[in-house]
Amino acid sequence: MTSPPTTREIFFTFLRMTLTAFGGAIGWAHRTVVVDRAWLSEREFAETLSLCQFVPGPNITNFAVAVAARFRGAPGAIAAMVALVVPPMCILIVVGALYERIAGVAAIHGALNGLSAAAAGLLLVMLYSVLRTLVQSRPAVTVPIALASFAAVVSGVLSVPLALIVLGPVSVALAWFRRN
Amino acid sequence: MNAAHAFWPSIIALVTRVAGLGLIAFGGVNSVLPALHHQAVNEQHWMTDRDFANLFALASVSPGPNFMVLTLIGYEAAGVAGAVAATLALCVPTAMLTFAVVKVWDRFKTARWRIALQAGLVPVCVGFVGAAAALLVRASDASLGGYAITAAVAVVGIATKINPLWVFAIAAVAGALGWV
Repeated sequence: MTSPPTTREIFFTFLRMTLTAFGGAIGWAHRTVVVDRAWLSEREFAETLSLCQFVPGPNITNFAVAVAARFRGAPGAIAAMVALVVPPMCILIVVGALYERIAGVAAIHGALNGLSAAAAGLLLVMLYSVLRTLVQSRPAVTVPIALASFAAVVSGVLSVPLALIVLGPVSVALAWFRRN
Repeated sequence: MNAAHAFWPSIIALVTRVAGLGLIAFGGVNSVLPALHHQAVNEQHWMTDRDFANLFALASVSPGPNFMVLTLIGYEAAGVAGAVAATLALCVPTAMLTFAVVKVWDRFKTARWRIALQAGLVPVCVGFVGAAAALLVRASDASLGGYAITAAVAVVGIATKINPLWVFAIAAVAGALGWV
């Protein structure tokens, strides 16, 4: 990357992303920031996202703040947040107002089903990308940990915060001793 | 929601509860969804169980981040002001926290504890991405058509440079026609 994006570029990139982000924003954020704009490498994306999962709150707004703050400080972070949150909030207020009327329409219900199936596919794309990054660095340690956290959450044995508390220290300790 | 005297108490109840849940949502908002459901349906009686499920589906497939189901919950609880209050209460405090954490994080870029923490958190987070993908596939794919759409988006995203939004458009039409 030659020069960091301007606050204006950050604003319009996140605005465009949020308005196309049907079915959840993280998959689209990956596509926008890594594939389309090349602001982050796959590795930087995985690292930034994991930091944002470590901090409480919505991953996507935390992610937007982390990415934009590194490029343009507080103004960049505010621009990213406003672009990301305000337009869909306005759309959802309209959706909320119409909710009683549209909840029963079969065609709308069907279209929503189609869109959420597509959204699941986008998350698989992102999973493929982060897995590829993971396999490149010490897969003998990292892949079993990823599988353990996957299995714990999918099976319902641990909630996400509990999995973080249980597996996080183990994983960090392994990385620490590897360093030594 | 008609009496004027009920307006401020309900906004305050909304903001304190949502902000509190946001600040314990380690790993993302999905980790506090059960608690949010409990507050909205059983404690505060903002909506029925069925409304909650419908609003969640609507937010998932509307443009923008999935956590914006909070906009709809806020709208049900206290109208437009509630929608804005709930949305901001969830993401602004945690965004400020992220901003502070990123500053510290980048200052210790070369510290051994920071490198170990980063390297340790990534695989756990990749497991969460996998779990989110699996849960989303399970929740949204109830038919062969649904699986076909999910697979199509995944293949297009992994193997081609085509914007997956095209598949989303086809998915919406297929859903509206009742094929999903």
